[in-house]
Amino acid sequence: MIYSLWIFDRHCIIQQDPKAARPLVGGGTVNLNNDIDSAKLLFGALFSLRNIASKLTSNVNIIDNTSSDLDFQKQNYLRSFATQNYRAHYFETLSGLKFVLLTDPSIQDMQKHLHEIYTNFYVEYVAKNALSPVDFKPGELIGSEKFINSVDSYILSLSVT
Amino acid sequence: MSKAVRTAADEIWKNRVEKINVELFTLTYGSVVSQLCRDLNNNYCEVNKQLEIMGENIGVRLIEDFLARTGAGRCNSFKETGEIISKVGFKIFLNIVPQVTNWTDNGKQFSLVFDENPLAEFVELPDDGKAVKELWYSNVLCGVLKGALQMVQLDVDVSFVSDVLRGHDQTEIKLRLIRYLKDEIPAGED
Amino acid sequence: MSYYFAMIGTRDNPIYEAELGTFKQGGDGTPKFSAEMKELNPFIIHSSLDIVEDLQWATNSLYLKIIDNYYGYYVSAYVTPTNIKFMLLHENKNEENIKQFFIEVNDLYLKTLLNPFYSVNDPIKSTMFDSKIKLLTKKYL
Repeated sequence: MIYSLWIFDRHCIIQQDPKAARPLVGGGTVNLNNDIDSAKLLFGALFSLRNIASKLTSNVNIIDNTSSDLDFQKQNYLRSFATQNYRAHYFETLSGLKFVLLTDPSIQDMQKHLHEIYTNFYVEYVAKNALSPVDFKPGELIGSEKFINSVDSYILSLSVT
Repeated sequence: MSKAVRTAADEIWKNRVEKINVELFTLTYGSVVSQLCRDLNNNYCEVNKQLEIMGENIGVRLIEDFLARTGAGRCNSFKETGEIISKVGFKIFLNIVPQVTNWTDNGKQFSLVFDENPLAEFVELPDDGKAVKELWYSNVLCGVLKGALQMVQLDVDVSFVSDVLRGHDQTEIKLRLIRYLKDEIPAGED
Repeated sequence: MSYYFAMIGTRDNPIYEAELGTFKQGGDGTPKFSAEMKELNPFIIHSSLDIVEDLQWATNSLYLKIIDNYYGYYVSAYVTPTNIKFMLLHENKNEENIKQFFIEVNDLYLKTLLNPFYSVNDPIKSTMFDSKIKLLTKKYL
């Protein structure tokens, strides 16, 4: 069972609910008042966990010792966290895009699928669309119909198997 | 490491990149530049600026495509960044591999030297005396590099040093690292 | 033996003109036209333009061979698909070489067209083009 998909960019929130197969209204920036509390809570939890994960890694390869504001340790990436009722799978790109998939706790690994959503749908329909903004303003969602429809059908196909 | 990187990039170029006709590409870019010159009344400094802005818009989107295709992780140093840009980035998108040279001692600046430039095939700058001194024909490349690196938290200043179209010996772009951009964190959380 | 070469655009305007001298038989490549001939050359070419326009529809080849004769001077012509006319004024019949010359000039012209800053019917001022024409003269004329 897949419950929902969230996409956060470097600043804002764009959200989709596969069961309704329609994008819900949502959004806000990291720094402003978010309309939907659950989005804010989810983002906060993931952000903190991600920082903990990277800070708890030992400093393996600090190569460039000429600059002190470098922080390129061998990164440890957060993959998912689980509670009694759901598991949240997390995938982050180098450009700051965060993909979160909420499923039931029995599903173990969705990294591959999140990566698919990124490469086959986000890059194709959103990044390559020169008319869609790269830095979304607060309250703006991904408007591309193609993106929404294809992601919806992809996730529905996942739920069936 | 660099041999493996090169073969990986070759493999991506051969199998997973759609190819288009180079003349179509060159002529399209050429008409963009010449139309810009006409629109801005041959104010070549303004043309350079506009080309860089266009490049930045391309770069912020191209980086997503690049990350999706290569699945590259974070580079450990600016040197590695330079190697990846020249061996993987340029290879995938333009099928050229510029040379990385002229590293400064603190490792914060390097140059890319191009021995061929598909954007500028068959181009001769107009003969009005100003173009040869002021116009950087392929300035869109500088914008692309700047925009793309900005999305991965590197603030880099990119500019042309020399260009064969202007009569110099080689085409060279200089990249200077200004600073690393910090990740954005939600308000009230630090 | 000297040659006078002109490229005429679609509006009957000259895009490029050159006086060339032969390199064969000990020639040194400098054209040797008398002063009166120098003035007359463009006129001769211009007057044969009408003939070119008639002939170009009669045949489907691009090379029109010798189209006119002026007191011992022959005029050969070549029409590109975009109606640019290459005209050569020469004294001796040398059809095969002149045809090859025209074909290579066509290649040069194509490369000029690929320059985004060049529009059709602009005069060709590039020195590179000049030197390449001289090389072709050496080769064929």
